[in-house]
Amino acid sequence: MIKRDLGELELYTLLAIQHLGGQALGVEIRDEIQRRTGRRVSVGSGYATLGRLGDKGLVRFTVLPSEPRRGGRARRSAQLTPAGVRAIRESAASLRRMLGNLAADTLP
Amino acid sequence: MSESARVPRWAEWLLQIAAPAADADAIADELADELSREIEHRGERAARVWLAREVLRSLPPILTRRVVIVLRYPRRRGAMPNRFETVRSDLSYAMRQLRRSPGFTMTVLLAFALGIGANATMFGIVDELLLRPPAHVRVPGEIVTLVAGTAADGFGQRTSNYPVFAAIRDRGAGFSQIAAVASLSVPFGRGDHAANLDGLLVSASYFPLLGVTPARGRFFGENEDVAPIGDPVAVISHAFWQRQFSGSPDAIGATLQLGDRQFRVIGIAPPDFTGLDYAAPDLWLPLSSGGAMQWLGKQWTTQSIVTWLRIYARLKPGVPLKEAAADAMRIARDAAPDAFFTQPGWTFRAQPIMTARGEEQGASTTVATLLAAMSLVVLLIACANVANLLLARGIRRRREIAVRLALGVTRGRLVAQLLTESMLLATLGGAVAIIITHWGGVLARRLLLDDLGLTASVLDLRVLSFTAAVALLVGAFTGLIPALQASRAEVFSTIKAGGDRGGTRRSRAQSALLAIQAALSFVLLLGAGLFGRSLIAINGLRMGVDVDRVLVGSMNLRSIGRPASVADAVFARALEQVAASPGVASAAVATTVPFGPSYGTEAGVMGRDSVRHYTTMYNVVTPDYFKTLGASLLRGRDFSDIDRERTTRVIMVNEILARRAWGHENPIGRCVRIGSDSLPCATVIGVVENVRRQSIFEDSSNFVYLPLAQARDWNTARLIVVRAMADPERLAETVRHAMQTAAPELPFADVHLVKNQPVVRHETLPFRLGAIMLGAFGALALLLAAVGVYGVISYDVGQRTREIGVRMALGARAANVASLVMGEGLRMVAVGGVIGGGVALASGGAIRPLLYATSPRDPVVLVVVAVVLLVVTTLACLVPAQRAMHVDINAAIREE
Repeated sequence: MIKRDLGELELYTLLAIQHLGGQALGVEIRDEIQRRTGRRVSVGSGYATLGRLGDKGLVRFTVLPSEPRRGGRARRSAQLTPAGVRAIRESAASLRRMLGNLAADTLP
Repeated sequence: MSESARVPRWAEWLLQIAAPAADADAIADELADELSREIEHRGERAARVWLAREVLRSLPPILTRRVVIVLRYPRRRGAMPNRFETVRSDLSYAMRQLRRSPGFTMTVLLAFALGIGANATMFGIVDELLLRPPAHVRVPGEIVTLVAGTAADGFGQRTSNYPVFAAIRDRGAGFSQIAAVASLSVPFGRGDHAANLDGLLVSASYFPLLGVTPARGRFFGENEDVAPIGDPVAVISHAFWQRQFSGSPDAIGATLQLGDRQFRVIGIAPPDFTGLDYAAPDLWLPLSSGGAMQWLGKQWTTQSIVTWLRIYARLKPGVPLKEAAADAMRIARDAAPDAFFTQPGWTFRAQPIMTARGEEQGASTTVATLLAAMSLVVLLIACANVANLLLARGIRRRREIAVRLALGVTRGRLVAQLLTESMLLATLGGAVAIIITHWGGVLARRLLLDDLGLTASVLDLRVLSFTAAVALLVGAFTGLIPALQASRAEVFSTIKAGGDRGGTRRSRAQSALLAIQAALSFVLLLGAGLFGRSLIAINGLRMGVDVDRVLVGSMNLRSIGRPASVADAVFARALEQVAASPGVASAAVATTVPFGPSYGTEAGVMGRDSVRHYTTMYNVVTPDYFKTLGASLLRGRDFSDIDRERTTRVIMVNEILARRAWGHENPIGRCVRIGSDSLPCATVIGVVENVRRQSIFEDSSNFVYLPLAQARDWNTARLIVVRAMADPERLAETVRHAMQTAAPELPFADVHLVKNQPVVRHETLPFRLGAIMLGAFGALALLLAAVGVYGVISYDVGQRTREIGVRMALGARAANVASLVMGEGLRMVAVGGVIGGGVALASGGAIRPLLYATSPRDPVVLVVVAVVLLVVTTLACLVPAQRAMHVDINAAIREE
C-alpha cells in the first residue's frame, strides 16, 4: 500500500534514511538532505516530518542505548519499515513515468 | 562528539509547551547537539543567534504537529499539553471544593452571572449602535455621508436634494461611487386593508455602492432609475418577503399596489441586510419611481430649496475626507446657489458612516454608553463581592492551606489552584450570564432601541466572545488577591494555632471591599434618583399639549393621486365621523401639530407709523383645535363657525408673539398682515398659551393661527387631532377606522399619540431609560451589597462566637450584642456611602448635561439614597445579629 499524500520533504526524508543504510538519527537525516539538495531543514520540521512518516507507518523508531559517558542521552533513530521501502520504490517509479522521455537536457 | 552544549532555559521552556511531552526532550537533545557543532564552527555568539532562529523556525511545524496529534490521536500519551494534566487535577479539586459549599457557590455564581450578564447586555447594545459595521457592506470604512453646516454650529444638515446629488455624481472627483437615499412611508393597498410600508427611495447606484448581492432576483439597473419617472420596480426585504409572500419564490414578478402605481417585485435582499441603517425597510424603490409619492411633486429633480435626500459616497482611495467634501461643496454651490445649505460659510463634512450612525441616535447613544459604564460598575461590585467571599473562604481554609504548604506544595501551585477555583466560578457564572444576556438583551432593545426595529439575534458571536472574555478576566481578577493572600499563610503558626478559627479577624481587605461596594451602590442609586427626578420634572412641563391625551391622525391622499381639493372634503367628512365616535372629547383638523413639521411666514404688525416684521410659524386649524390640544385660551375667543371664507379675516397669536408685538397692551382687535404687506389685514381675535413646536425643551417661537375656512390654500397638508376622554391607546383604532371609512378606497390612516411622536420619544427616552436602567442596576448593586454585608457579618459572628459568649457571660445584654454586630456592618457601609457620596458630588458635573432641571447634588435624592442604603444594610445585618443574640453561652465558652 502506498500513501498518495507523500510530501516532498517526506520523500526526501525516506530517501535520506535509505542512503544512510535504512536507519538514521534526525540530525543525520537533515544533514544528508542538506548535502544532497542544499536545503536546510529546521529541527522542528525534521521532527514533524518524521512524526508524520511514523503516523503513516513508513518509519518506526527505536531508542538507541545511551552513550557511555556522563550526561549521555538515549537517542531515537528512525528506521524504514517495509512499507517505507515500498513507498520509495513506487514514488521513484511514478517520478520516472512522469519524466518519461524528457531527458535531463531537454527539461526547461 | 564532544560534550554537548546546553540549550538555554527559554528554549527548553518553549519546547516543553509546544511539543508533546514525549518528544520535547528528544528535540531539545537534537538542538543541543547541533548547537555544540555550531559553536565549534562559528563561535559562541553566532551559535546562540543561530539557535534562537532555529527555535523560532522550528516552532510552527512543531505546533502544527501537536495540533494534528491532538486532533487525530487524542488518546496518545502526552498528546495533551503537559500543563493540561495539572489543570485537570486542579479543576477536579476545585469542583470538589465548590460542591462542598453550595451556599457559597450559588452566591458567587449569582453575583458573577448578574455582573457579567449586565455587561454583556450593554455591550450588545453599544456594539449594535457604535461598533459593528453594517452587514453585507463592502469596506464600510470607505463610505461617508455628506452633512452640511458650519464648524461653529456643528454639522446638523443631513439632507440635500436632487440637483446637488446629480451634480456631485456627474462632476465630483473625490468619490468613486455615490448614491442618494430618502426614506418614505409608502401607502400599500386601499380601504380597510390599507397599510403603510417603510420604504427607502434609492438611486440605482445604492446597491453597487454597498457591494451587496441580492438573495434572489436582482437589484435595479441604471436604466430603471431614470428621472423624472422611473420604472415601477421594487426590491423587498427578506422579512417583508416572508411576511407578505410566506417566502414563496413566486414573489419575484408579483405586483404590489404602492401609492397610485403597480410595482413589480424584481429582487429580494439578503436576510440580515439593513443597508446603512440599523433596521431594514420593507422595500426599496428606485429614487425616480417614487415620484408620485413625494410631496415635492413634479419638480423633484429641479427644486433645490427643500432638502430631503441623504447622500452616501465611497471615497476614492487616497483622497482625504476634507478635500472630497470641499470639492463636493464647490459643485453644490454651482448647482444650487439658492439652497440654504450652500450659503457662504457653510461647508460639507464627509462623515464616515460608522460615526454618523451613532451620532444620529444622539441621546440613545449617549445613554447607552453611560449605561455601559454603569454596568461596568455593577460588575465591579460583583467582583468586590466575590473577592470578599473568596477572602473569607481563604481565611476559613487557612489551616488546610498551611498543611498543604507544609507538605511541600509550592506557593505557585497553590495560587494556581485557588485561581482555578475562581476561574471555574467565573466560567460557570458566564454560562448563566448568557441566559441573562439573552433576556436582558431582548428587554433592553425594547426599552432602548425600539425605534430601530432591530431583528438580528441578541446573542451573536461577538457578544458571546465578549461574555467569555469578561468571564475569564473577572475570574482572574477576583481570584488573584485572595489567592495571593491565602498563599502567604504562616505555616507554623497556623498549624500550631490548632482550630480553623485561630482567632483571625476579618481582614482589612474585606472591610475595604465592603466599603467599595457600598460606595459604588451609592453612586448607582444616586444616578437612578437623579434621572427619576428629571423625568418627574419633564412630566410636569407645560407644553401646551397633553401629550398622553391627544391623538394625531394622518392620511397621505396625495400619494394615491387625490388632488388637494378633494382632501378637504375627505378630511371634513373624517372629522365629522371622528367627532361622533364614542370616547372622543373633541377633535379638529390642522395642517400641523406640535412636534410635527413647521411652516414659517412673516407677520407685519402695524405700528403707529411703521410696520414691524416678525418671522413666525403658522398653523391652519379648525375651531376647537386648542381645546383638543389642551392649550388654554388666555385672551379673546377661539375660532368658530362664524369665521368663514368671506367674513372678516381673523387670526390668533401665541403668547410670545403677543408680548413681543404689543408688550403689555391688549392685542385683541389689532391688525396683522400675514405673509405679505400687500395682503388685507387680519384681526387678532385671541391669544393662546405657547404650544411647543419642535422640542419639549424649547422656548416657544412666534406663532400665528389661521382658520381653515379662510386659509384653505395656504397649505394643503391636513391632519386630524383628537382628544380622548379616557384610554387614548384604545381610541386610536376607532379614530383610524373613522378616518379610513370617510371615503372609499382611502390609503392607510396612521393614528398615534402625541407622546409617541418620534421627537417626543427621542427627547424623553434618555430620562426614561436612565431612570429605569440605572434603577435596575442600582437595585442589583444594592442586592449584591446586601448579600456582601450579610456574608461578611455573619462570617464575623461565626468567628466571634466565643467572644460573644464571654461577653454575654460577663453580663452583656442581647441588645448590646446586637448593636455590636450591627454597628460593624453599618460602619463599613456608612464609610462607603460617604465615599460614594463624595465621588458623586465631585463628579456630578459629568452627568449634568444628561439631567433636566435637576441638580446633580439634589439634596432630596441624596438623602433618600442614603436612607435606602442604611435601611438595606440594617436588614442585611439583622439575621446575623439575631444569631449573635442567641449564642449558647455554655457551648460558646466550652468550645475550643
